[in-house]
Amino acid sequence: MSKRTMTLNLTDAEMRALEDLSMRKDLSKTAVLRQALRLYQMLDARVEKGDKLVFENEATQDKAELMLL
Amino acid sequence: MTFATAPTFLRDLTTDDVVPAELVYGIGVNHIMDWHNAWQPALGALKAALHEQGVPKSEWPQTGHWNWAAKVVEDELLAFRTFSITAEGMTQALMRVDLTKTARLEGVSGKPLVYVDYLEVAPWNQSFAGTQKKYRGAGPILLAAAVELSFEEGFKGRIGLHSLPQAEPYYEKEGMIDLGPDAQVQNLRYYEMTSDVAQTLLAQE
Repeated sequence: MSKRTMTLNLTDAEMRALEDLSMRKDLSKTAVLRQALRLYQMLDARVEKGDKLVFENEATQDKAELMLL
Repeated sequence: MTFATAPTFLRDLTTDDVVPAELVYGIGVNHIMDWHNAWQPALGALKAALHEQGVPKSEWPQTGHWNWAAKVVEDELLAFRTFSITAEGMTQALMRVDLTKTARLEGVSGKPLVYVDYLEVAPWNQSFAGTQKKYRGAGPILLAAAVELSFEEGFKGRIGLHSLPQAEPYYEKEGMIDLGPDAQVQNLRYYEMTSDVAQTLLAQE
């Protein structure tokens, strides 16, 4: 699959978050961003369809709905 | 739409010949037409034969209710990839994978993997009592394609799937680790392949 290259400007905090995810998820920074794009696109498509995005903690029984803007 | 392809081979068990096949990186209208016009009647005939032989329903094909036309609807999303295998002008197997799931195995828990959502070979390529399977090799080619994708995406070869009961021995033979029944997914057993096993599998291809 052909790939295209772009320059990404990030703040220090954003770069730290990217590096942290890269380390914890055992992924390159590019792979983290591609994964983020996949997830964002899928969530956006589901929310556009009318689905709700809900986080649930089985231990505490807490439920929270996430609003995608 | 035209998809990328890679040459591969299947073994014709009726002649013991190796026949050229294609791994297609996508599921197109032609594959869906094959599923509808050839797989469905073949499945009906297979079920009728199994019924006639008195084979219990628990031993009948377990993927017969899968609707591939509906499964490719989300194809345009980056989260999903589809694959098919064709040989002698006919679709021989189909697979859809999800790239948004994470591993459950201790040590890699929370790290991304390629999750095999659906993998089905044509009814004439499945083994059932009293029937002669046509082609061998389509399932392993698709499983290897999932592993290859996992390496390409930087997921280190990790793959996961929920297995239908009939397919459990196959995934165990491929070295996948059984993490037990999953109450969230109809109590199907959940399996994962480690990076090491994935590397070995690709080396054997």
